[in-house]
Amino acid sequence: MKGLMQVIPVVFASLVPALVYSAVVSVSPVITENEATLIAWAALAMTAVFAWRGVDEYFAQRGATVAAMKQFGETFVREFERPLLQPDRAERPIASQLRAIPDRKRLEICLAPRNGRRYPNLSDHRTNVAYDVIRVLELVQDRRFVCEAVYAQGSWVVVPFQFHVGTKQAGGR
Amino acid sequence: MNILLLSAGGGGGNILRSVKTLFDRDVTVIRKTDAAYAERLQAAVTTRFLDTNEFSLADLPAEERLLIGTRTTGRLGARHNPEVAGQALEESKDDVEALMLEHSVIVLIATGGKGTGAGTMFPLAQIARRHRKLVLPIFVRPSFERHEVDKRRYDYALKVGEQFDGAKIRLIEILNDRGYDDGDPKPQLVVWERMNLPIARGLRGLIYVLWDLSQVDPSDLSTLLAGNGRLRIGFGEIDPPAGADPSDELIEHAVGGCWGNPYYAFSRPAGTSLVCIHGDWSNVVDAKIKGRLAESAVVGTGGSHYNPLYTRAVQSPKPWGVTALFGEHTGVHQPLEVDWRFDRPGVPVVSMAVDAANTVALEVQADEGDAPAIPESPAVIPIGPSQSDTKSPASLWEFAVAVNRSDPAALALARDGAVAGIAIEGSEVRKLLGTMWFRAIVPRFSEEWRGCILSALVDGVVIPNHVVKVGRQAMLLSALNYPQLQEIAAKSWLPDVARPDLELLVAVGRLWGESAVSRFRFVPAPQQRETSKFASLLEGFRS
Repeated sequence: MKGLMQVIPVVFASLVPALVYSAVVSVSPVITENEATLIAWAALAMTAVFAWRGVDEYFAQRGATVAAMKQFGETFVREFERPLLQPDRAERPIASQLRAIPDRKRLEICLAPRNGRRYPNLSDHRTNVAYDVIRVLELVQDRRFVCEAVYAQGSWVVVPFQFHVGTKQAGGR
Repeated sequence: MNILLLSAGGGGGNILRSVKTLFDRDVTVIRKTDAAYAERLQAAVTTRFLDTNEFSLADLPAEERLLIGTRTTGRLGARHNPEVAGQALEESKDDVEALMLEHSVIVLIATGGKGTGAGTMFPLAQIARRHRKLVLPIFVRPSFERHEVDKRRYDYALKVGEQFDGAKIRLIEILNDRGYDDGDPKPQLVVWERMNLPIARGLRGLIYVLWDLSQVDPSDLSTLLAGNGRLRIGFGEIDPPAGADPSDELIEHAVGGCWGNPYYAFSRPAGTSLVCIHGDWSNVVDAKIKGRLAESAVVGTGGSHYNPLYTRAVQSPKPWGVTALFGEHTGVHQPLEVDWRFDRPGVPVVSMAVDAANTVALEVQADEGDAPAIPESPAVIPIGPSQSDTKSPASLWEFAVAVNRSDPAALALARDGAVAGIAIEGSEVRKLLGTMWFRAIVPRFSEEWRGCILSALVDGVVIPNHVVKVGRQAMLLSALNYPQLQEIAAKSWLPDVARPDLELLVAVGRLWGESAVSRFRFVPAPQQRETSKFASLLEGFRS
């Protein structure tokens, strides 16, 4: 459905020259066919410009959203794993994945133990995971990302976030 | 020299109990073969259990309890709150300081489990450092993954380690996580014994070293514990067949056990480290042990930083083996200023002098020039009714060595001011003042002795009047007051030719007072080309 909504402006834009041409020809008898064609082409050019700007804005916004999500996700994972790092062991203590769904403004950070470790998991460390999520959010201080209920998916602990663009600090105007 | 083993909180207390049991077990074994030596060993160590909860201390002898913050906690514990424990320590700070002042070496043991250990560990180490004690903190980071504590407390324990790093206090950090092995599960008691045995045996090795500071330069110990980073205690037992050398396999196993202690946080290459070997075997075995340890220390690291200080306990009773205190290499650090206290309260003097065969000979690889040579004669001069015929020391050096060994006859001589009969030369005093062990024993001489030593020094030594930089100004050494000398010695770059003279003046000022510095005679220093720091660096490349 969402895809269909995105196609509508494109279809509309492609119909613009034909609509403008027929409208001009039927409304004003003094305008010749050549002149009507020119007007239709001009309308097409203007529509193309507007459509281009719209598409460009959409992609720019999408890119910015993805970048913000990526930065937040990486910072979150880094802070989450920092206390688990063993100074004499090179390998990372947790596995992580980021799932970004920019159109829905949703980010899912997936964490799982690795190298024989047991944390994070929700079966016996639910309280510790909840504590750690709050700890990291306090450190990161990015109010645009609102955490939702943590859940398990296989061996992954999924920490979902809703991204609120333009959210102001509490108490801000 | 005496060592205080001070635990903080319930977890630290449990470890100290365990360490004490293992240590007592060793002493019991030793007592069967050598009661006097066992007595010495036991008298060198004081144990105190610090806690906020009176009930945790109920099973301990009254003299070993140290209840803190009774008003803050109502004797009921820190309510699992490290900050409350910190306040309790603040309330009882005077008692803790008084206890620490009686000791030179303070071993702190705590865990990051609940409140008292986590809340007092770092402040205790700070107090010890403030009083210039050699502090060896042992801290256990609990496991949250195995549900010993929750994650919040684990994170607090992490912060304790960071505090030590920030304050540049070396820390022995035991990671409880490593005590759980899914592939080879063991009962908790077995794991605890594995964790604690190296501490108990390592302390035994440390006592050997601290016993006779004329054999291991105290500055080496001050360097070993200077700076930040982690330390690791290791022990490997060697039990060879009677009258024979241990096999290579036994040596390999012991060195592996000593080096590869898996429970400790230790991530950087080994730097300055203390290795103590005890056992009756040939020097070939000693060499093999040292070689294998060095191999282990350098493998994969380039090994350029490993700097072992070797000590050797001769004729020590079983259990034999090798103990080591490895330090992470974290750069070059200024040695710690340590108040080396030489009183040995509770040590029966006679027992120390009974049997020269049991004295401990120590061997130090680095800076041998600083340490006095081991006399051929028994290291401890026997005392008792037959002392009247004891040969009096021929030189100040010999006398100082005897004082440093706490030889009763020498101590008596140092106290009563009978100076006659010992030749004191200024050049010898100067050389002695260049060693830390001598500077540490100067306060043990009577006023009369100290006066004679100083007179010999100022009469026999003239100081070249070097030009030194004070800020942007060039000044003559003779024109500087004591605080300026101290500041230049601590902070400024000095040419090699001037540094020994300046350090001598600072040492004299510290030991005899500021006015003593003005008694020196200065002569014009030889003319020198004025060179910059950079030029002096290039000096070595010039032909």
